[in-house]
Amino acid sequence: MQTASHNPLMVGLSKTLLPEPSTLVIFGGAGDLSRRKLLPGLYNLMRDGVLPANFAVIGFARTELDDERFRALARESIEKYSRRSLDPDAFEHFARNLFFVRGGFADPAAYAALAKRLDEIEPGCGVPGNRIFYLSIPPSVMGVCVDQLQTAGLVRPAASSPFSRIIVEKPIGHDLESARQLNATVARVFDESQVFRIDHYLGKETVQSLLVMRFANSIFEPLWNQKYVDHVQITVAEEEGVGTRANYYEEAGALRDMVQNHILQVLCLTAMEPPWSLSPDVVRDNRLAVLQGLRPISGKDVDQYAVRAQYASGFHHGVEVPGYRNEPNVKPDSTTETFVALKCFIDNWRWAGVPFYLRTGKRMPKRASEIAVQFKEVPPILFNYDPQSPLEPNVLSVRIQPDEGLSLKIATKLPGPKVRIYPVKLDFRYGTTFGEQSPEAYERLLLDVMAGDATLFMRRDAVEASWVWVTGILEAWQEHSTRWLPQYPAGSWGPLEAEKLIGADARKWRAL
Amino acid sequence: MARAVSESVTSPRPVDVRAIERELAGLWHEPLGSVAAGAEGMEPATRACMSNLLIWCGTQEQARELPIEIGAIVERHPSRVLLLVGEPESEKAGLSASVSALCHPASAGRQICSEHVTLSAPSGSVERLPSIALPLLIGDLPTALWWAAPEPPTAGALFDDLAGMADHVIYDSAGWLDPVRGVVSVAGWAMELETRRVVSDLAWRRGKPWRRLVGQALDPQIAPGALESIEEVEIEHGPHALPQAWFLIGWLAGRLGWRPIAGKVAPGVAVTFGFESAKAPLRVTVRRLATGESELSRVAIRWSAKVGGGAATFAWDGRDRLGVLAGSSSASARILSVHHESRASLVARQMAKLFHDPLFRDTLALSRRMAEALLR
Repeated sequence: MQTASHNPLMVGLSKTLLPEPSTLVIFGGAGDLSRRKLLPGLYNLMRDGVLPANFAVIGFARTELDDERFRALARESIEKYSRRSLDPDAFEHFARNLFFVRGGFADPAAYAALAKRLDEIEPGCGVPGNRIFYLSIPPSVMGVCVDQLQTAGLVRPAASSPFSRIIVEKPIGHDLESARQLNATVARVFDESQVFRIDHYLGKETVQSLLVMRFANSIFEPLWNQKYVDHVQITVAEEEGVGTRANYYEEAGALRDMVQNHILQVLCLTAMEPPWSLSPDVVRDNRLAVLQGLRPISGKDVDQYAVRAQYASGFHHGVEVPGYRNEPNVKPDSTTETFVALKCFIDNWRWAGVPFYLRTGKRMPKRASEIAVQFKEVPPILFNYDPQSPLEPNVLSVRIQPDEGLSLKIATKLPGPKVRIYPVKLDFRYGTTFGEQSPEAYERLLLDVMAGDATLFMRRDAVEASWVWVTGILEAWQEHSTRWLPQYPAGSWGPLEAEKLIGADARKWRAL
Repeated sequence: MARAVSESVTSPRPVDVRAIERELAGLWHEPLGSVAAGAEGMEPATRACMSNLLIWCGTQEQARELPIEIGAIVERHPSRVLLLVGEPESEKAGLSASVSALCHPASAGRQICSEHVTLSAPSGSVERLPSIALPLLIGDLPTALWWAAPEPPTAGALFDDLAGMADHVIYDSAGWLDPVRGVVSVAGWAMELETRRVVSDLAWRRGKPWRRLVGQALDPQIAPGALESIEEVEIEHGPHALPQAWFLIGWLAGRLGWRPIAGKVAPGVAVTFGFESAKAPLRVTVRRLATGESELSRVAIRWSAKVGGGAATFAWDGRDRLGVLAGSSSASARILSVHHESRASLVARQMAKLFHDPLFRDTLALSRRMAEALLR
């Protein structure tokens, strides 16, 4: 990629990296992620005119498909999941670049067939040999897949042209040890600069705009510290139960599935210091510093700072739904947590003493993810003199999904002769302010990989740092094994224990 | 694209000029509820506004072309639209005004609506328009002036007043009857105004994919020495696209340090320029095709044999693909996926750019020097 300093003709043109003509090989190409996100995302990128004109997609899986059936699967996926409706002409153009190779992830012959197919396809599609391997497969077969890629001669060294890159989908490991093992396996074959560990939360428009809000406005950053912030709440609530993911979820639980990756990454963006540039490693260094500053929670502290729970049967949108232990493929005596609430601290100058309350759960009343920064109360004089009816504090909430946007709660005077204070929300919504639709997180992230921009991807050290922090909690839970977890009715905001966790600090969870 | 986005348009409601603001406020109460939420299953309308958009049209005939474009603009960039129309043929005595709402479907069954005000003035009253428009601008929002008339915006009372209210002046030099004199005329005020306002020519924006592709293909790492050794440039364009060709030359000349020394016009057929560069003189030919799309069609660049020699030809490869179709082997790999954008789409995208473009300013300055070389 050329820079303006070498080429006067590139001065003034967008400094963002351009996606390079590439072939995307999706391991697990017929799987759920491919159908729901990747194929519709690529189609949308093409419709938006931002996908390189020269591209190819190869689905690789054991499923009995060929090119035509893979194209039919893509069509069906786009019709069902795409944010843009299927245009027959556009799809025909898109489908011409879709191919399928059938094979097992450990089968050398399948990789030889893949190599042969790549060599056949790329000249016709105008792709100069740039290859991106997307591991949308279980962690247990990632290692063998990476090794087979190398054995088949499909991996080029870092900084070579054409390039080889690899996208590793979560979960990256089951615990610290397995994450280290997986990272080491990938590192045997790929240089860190070729590895893109995806956490789709980082591709969400609001999450990215958090940096803009913090560092492109002068009014927030001066208040963004322990002097003015009372506490921060980060919530990722899911409506669904475990659904068809029980086999995975039984081994994972909410802490591994949500906190170790999505929530900690959002926490990092919320709490990080201003980076001195937007180059990928500078931003990622600052995110890592937050993880390194997280006060460990382990041993006896875990009961004080962490709550885990399981959803019981209840009503969801008026429909009775089973409890977690009664879901298909869940053990009847399962102690896998479907809800986690945490109180944590970042021991640095900026955040000393400010609690960050994190919560996530399945079968909650609605799907809602947000970051809420609650500011300290005004002094107890003038309008806030009555301790029996304190003023509502200012809260800046950033809605990650749905209805992306942000709102600021402020106190205002009700109309009338008397001074009566009432909290109102200043509300900004992406969906109603801007005419343009936000791209899906995966769309942005796929483009970034094609362009070689790793800013929104997790670096090896950050993944391992987040596992280090989470491991303290996991180990304590393992030591204090229990036959029953606290329960919360499906369709509620969590167990009483979570209310007590935050209530002990005379605070409460936000109603979303 | 200018699709029929604004099916949910309230009928323009004639209003007294002094009651426009009140009528606009009224739109968001009872009547709009039935109009904007008219489609079954639709939620009530939400008003959205990112900018004020002032549009000037010299005649009613020009204005008749605009509603679909305005609908497409506000779908992408919701705005309060003030359409100012001159009526030189009208025998009416005073100004007339109407208000309406433009709504388009958004996600989750919602409708997003923009306000639209049309102000029409017979020739004797045109100078009153700015004083009516000014209080209708929503404060604390960026204001764009789109000069939608086919003639170049020329400095004068009306333009000065309207530009004075705006943060951003947008015009389109494509289609000007005399682009050479138009460039000289516009550059006169634009160079000065650009220091205080953002000034944008849509013809400059249309050339962006070409600039990107040429810049990438001739990159020193791909075609070493080419940039310093260009000897000849040939550009072909369709009808009314001379300004776009002009800008491409001005951009190359500005970035690569060429100085215009001579120009010659073969009316309706070709324009030829001579430039001096640090290494050697070079020649640029711009040819007009009799038919085809109103845009650049082909650009051929040849550089000196002293650095290995080479040539690159840039052209459309299908409707939405712009590529290096021939040339040095390393340069030939690049193809850009380019959507042909409507004028409305360009205006909407330009409205979102609130920063000065020094590259455009430099190119405009050079374009003026090229035009002056022809007019000598």
